[in-house]
Amino acid sequence: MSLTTSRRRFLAGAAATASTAVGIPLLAGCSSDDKQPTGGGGEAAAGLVNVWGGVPAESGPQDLIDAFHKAYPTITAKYTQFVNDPNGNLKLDTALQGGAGIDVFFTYSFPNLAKRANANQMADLTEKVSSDADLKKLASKTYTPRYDGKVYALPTVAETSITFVNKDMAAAAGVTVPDSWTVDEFHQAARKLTNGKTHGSFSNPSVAVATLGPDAGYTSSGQANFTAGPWLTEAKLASAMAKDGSSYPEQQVLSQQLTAYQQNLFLTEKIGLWISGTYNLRFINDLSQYPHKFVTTFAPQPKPTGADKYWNTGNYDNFISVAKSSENQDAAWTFVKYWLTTGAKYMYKAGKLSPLETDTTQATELLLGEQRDKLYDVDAFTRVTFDPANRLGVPKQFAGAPEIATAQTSQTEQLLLGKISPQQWVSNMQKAATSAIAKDS
Amino acid sequence: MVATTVPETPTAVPTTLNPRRGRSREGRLALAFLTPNLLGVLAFTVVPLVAGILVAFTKWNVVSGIGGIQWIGLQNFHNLIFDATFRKSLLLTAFFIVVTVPATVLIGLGLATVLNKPIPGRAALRAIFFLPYIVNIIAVGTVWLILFNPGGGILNTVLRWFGIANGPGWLTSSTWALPALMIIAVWSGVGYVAVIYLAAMQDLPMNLYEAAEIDGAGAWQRFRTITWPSLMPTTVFLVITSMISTSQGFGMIAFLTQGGPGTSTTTASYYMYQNGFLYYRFGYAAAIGIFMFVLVLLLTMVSWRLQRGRGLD
Repeated sequence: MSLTTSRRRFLAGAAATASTAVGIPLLAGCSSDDKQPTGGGGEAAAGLVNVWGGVPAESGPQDLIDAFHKAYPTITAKYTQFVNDPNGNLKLDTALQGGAGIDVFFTYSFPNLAKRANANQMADLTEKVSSDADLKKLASKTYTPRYDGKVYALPTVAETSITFVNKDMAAAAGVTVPDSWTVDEFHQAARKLTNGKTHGSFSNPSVAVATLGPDAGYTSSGQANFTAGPWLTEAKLASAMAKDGSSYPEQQVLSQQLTAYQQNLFLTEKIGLWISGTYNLRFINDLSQYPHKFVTTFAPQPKPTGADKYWNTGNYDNFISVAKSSENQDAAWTFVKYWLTTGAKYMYKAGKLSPLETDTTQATELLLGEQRDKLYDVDAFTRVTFDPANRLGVPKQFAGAPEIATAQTSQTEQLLLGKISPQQWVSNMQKAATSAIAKDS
Repeated sequence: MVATTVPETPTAVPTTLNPRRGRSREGRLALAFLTPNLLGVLAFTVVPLVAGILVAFTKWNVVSGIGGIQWIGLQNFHNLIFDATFRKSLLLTAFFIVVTVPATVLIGLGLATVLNKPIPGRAALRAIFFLPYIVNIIAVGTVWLILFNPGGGILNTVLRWFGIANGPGWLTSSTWALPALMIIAVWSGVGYVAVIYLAAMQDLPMNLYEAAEIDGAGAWQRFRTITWPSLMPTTVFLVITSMISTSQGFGMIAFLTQGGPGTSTTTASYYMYQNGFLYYRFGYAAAIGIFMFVLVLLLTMVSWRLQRGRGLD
């Protein structure tokens, strides 16, 4: 048999190969070979559940999925991590659009949540949640925003804002860590902690959101609200702390891109106070990456001076949804319910505290880790984090929200660098927010 | 009567191929080879380009799917004209181009002139100067982030040696952030420009140089009357392509400054990214893209017009 080929046959083969190579990217994502037929009726149906989340698998999701497989051997959960930044969220959105076979996914920002709910990406969970004794609490408006009166996503995390305090630095500077303090008292404490080598705090505490609530940037009719008094008070506080050095210099934050690495400053004792959330406990627990000897104690978020009641600037967050396009709704809902209830404890190693948690002792042990007695003032953590007076909110207004957030970042940079005054900050923000809201109307 | 013989005329060798059919067969063959590439260009260039133009006339956030597209006509373009942030971004982009492109081209030309001389280690030097162009943009940005540190960075340290105690804030200053990005852009592009000029210099008319030397022309005169006009086509190419790539510059801004401090480095391309990928206003972002496309096209045509008749005839 001859091994040579005619020119015609060669060209036909080359054209076929090239056409296939062009066609492959066009076909990618159209269908998933992983999908198995859905199971029969009943809540714990069989099948494959594809889950997309922003937390690395090794930080909790994989442990949760392993436990889920033992509890529900007929359902296989497959976890895909997406990076929770604009590109990663766009990747999730286009995957949902393109029918990539996603059954369960997470949303980490309220504007994205509103967009996906209004774009019909999420299954309606209202009935399921309202009739479930374990999850009914989450259906209330305190925890979950509603769109057209319906529930499309449920929060998996209560991200309470608390103040991490370097106990050793505080003692050396003569700062008493209080059970409650105002923003002015916080500022005084930060000034005491400031010397040639350290700064008091990473940034200023909130006044506006703490006073006005999660929709602080909007009036009740949806217009820009940056001319409200608390915004000017907060801008003045931020400016004062930048000028006296009690907040970390903005020039250094920008030049070293520290906003995403604030833990570095706290754990190398360059700041003594750090207003943040429990999701940052994983850095303090990680002695191999962040070796340190000091004890971390806790104080509540500072409250606006003169306020009796105030909002915690944290949120119920990390929303989990069943994809509207999921062909395995029952199995997906089984997985969602597991994540919210029995499986929630596996996420504590990522610092993700469940909003349904009632066993504060177990939660504290899991969040603070095995070396908690060496690294933390455990009593202070429990007292501050599980204080029933902590009032977390759920934003309801999102018109122009991403653009307003960008404007807030850029104007605050200018304020902290001393380029604009607090009054100019307020005026610029009002203009920027008005323009952003108009564009989205 | 003289017998004449009609000389045999050579007859054409009969062929089995009709020449016209042969040409058409070659054409089909060529088309067959081009088709895969054409399909790719169609699918990944032409179709997205046309789609982008159409999206510019809509209000769309992508998340809502095809069904969420709202046709709004020229509204996006109308809003652009009154958008103060966009107008500022245009000015920043223009300033960036007007400073960076001539600086890169002129410094690259100077470098090429030197590297064209028989200096020791010339081959190694050419490779070294070309390196910045091929190094990963994140690696370049990381190094410059350290160099530009206002406190301990080498630039301000050197300035302190010269008595300037409070050096610029560079990437942390709304005054100096854009100049800092320009420095990086010039540093990255100079090697590429030099390599292109070096290639062009190999075709320079040496006989003209010899004649000019005989006539007593100095180095500057030879450059002005022979080198510069001879290199005009290359210069036009470099100016136009540099202008296009500079107007699209995004990576370094996204990595180093995210358009800040304030909006001091929010160029038109970064503003387009913000509107599309941060604010989910893809129609508006597409309108910015179309606007920039038309603007750069006009600038390219003007540049092309201006260089006509300035070459070496």
